[in-house]
Amino acid sequence: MVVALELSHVTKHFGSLRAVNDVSFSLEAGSFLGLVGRNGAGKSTTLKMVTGLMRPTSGSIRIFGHEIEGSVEAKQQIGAMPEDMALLEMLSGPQYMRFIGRMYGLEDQVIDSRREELFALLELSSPPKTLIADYSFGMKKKIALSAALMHAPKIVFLDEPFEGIDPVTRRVMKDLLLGLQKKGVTLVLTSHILEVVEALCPLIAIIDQGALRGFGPLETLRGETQGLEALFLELVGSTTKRELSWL
Amino acid sequence: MALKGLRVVRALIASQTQVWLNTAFRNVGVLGSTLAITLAFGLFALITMLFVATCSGIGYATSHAVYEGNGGGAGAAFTVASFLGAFASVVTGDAHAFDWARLRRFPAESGWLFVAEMGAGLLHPVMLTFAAAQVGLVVGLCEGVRSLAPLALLTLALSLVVQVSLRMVMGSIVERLVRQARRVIVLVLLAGTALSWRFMSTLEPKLTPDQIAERLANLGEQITAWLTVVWRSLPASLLLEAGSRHGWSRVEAFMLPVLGVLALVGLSIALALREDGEGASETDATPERLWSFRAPVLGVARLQWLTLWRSDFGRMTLVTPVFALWPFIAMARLASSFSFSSGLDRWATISIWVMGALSSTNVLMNQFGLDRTAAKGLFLLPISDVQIVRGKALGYALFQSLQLAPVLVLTRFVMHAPWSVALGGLCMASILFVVQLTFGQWASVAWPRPLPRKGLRAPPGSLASVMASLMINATALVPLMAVWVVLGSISPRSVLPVLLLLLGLVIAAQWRMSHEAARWLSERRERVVEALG
Repeated sequence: MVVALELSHVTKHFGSLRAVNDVSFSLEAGSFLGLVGRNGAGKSTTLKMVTGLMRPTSGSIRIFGHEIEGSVEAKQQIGAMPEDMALLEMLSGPQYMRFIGRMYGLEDQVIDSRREELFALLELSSPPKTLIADYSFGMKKKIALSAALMHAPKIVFLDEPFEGIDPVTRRVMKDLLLGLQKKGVTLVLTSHILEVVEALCPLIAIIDQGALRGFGPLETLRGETQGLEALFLELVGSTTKRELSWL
Repeated sequence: MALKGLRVVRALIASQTQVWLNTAFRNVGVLGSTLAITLAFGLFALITMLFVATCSGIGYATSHAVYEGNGGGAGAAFTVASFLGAFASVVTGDAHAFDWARLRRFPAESGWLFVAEMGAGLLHPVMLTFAAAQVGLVVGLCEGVRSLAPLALLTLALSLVVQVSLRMVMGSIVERLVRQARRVIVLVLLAGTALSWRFMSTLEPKLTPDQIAERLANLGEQITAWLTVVWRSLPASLLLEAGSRHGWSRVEAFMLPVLGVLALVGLSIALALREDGEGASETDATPERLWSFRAPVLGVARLQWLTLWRSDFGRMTLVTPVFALWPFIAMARLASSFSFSSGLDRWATISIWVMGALSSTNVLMNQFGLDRTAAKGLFLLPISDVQIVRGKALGYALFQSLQLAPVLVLTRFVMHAPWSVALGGLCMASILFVVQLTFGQWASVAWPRPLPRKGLRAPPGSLASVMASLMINATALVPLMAVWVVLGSISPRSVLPVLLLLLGLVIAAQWRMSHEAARWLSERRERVVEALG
């Protein structure tokens, strides 16, 4: 068994706030994990830490056996699509892909051919000189996903990849991700769209107030509850109905 | 490994250049960009030619001394040029080239990122101007004594490395300073001012004119001796002396100081990376009430004040004048000690005020930049565009007052500038501020770009905006300097009243033009919303 990702007692403090609290789990290579939680639960902070964008206050994170902090080998294995997409918006699409490809050490010909393939698959068509700043939100998501996959990573982290995406593109992206999993790529995504997570991810982690409330195969976690949403609400949510007094 | 590292350097520098060009083309189109670039190059060429000619003269004049083993003069010239280049680029608010926080995710050795930062560090108009000045020194040295060519070129390389390194070190220091809590900044400013005042007051002797002259002469001798030691200890001087006296065998030993500077830069970058890695607190407290609809202009002013106060760019405008003050205090003190000319005090004072006013250019030329997406919220409020424009102007004016208050205290009570000079400087800075504010109201709508609330790494500004602000500042400075110099020599007492009159006029013009600025904003509101997200 090859361990793709291993978090050991990971904690992150922001001043007095404990954003992530003693989170530990590991993923085998080829797994597909859905990380779900309420707003501010610690999902994005966890993803920032596992992609090396943020350092944990304590604990360790390993990617294919390499400690993430300062490890070029670990970062070479990672494809990441952060929540804010981290795009250089004043570059055109092809210029941005060249930049990303070169940063991962790819030759320009390889970058261009992979870019054409990715753009065709994701139906990302725009005049080549159009700046990313002028792309629609959905197009930005597509180019961020293309950039995350450009260097053939072994593990991919996607923060809210389906937010703001039209149904057709969502379908294409789902197929793409499932295809990657079949090829042995490890995938971790966060999303508030629980139906998508339920349809895609055999493994689920539920995080609330920085702590893991549940981790494991969906069937095991779900037990007798009706679907992921019911499980999620049972573990972290409130079911009380609320109304506005003036409406 | 090295090949991969070089690819990283190439990727970063290429993307920086592309971003710069794309921004220019996007803002003013191909024709506008071509014109702006031509103008920029023209201006750059003019300034550079002056620098190169002057430095060639210095190089030629010192070449024989260098040949005889005395590298102090030429070394000092190299060092001064590299220091000024770094200092000026930091003061103009452009300390960092790359967004280190985003680069952390790439599989690149930090050493190569460092090399890329060094390379990109020189691709800046101010840095290039001073680099060209150093090339002028090399030309002058070689013109004087041809055999100095290899040594002069090596010194040039060393000096350029020092220039880029100093820029990064100073930029990191400023950035770290402005990242501290505002309470700490205020306390440090107050404590520094109080201590300086106390210290300088004790130095002020109550002596007869003869005793003062004697002491000044002694002080002058001591400072000359001290400066000689300093000049000779500078890396460039050591290298020139070593090369000319002992030949190439001793040259490498004198590269150690440069390696020390580089180590310092590495440390500062490591600290910056560490800080980025810690991440920012996601729980910054939001004030309960930002708005006061009883007076919309005051509500917008209050919001603008808070936006500046809570942003690193805003805090930098507070720190920069004080940061810039100390070299000028030292210069003025030295000038008076050498008894060169008491007029230098006035020039030093005025330079500080001008520097203070110019340090706000970045935020004044982009008045919606720090609002970012909140600009949309501002436009949705049930208030007129005139109220937005005037409210912002008032907010900036209040902030500028806070920025200039410590400068007034320091110039009057630490530099002991007469009230007429200190207040004259305040008037000049205020006039420059109002001119920039007025022009900024147009520029901010024409070329909006988001500025980060945290950190000083903004996307590159529009070339047209940079050029236009340079021209506006230069145009405003010419009559102000004319008043200062010409009127100051004919009728010194009338300088302050004339400057006050000018200030009143520009404030009146600003108030009148705010209607036009509001109309301009109404017409191009979409552009601001589109650019700021």
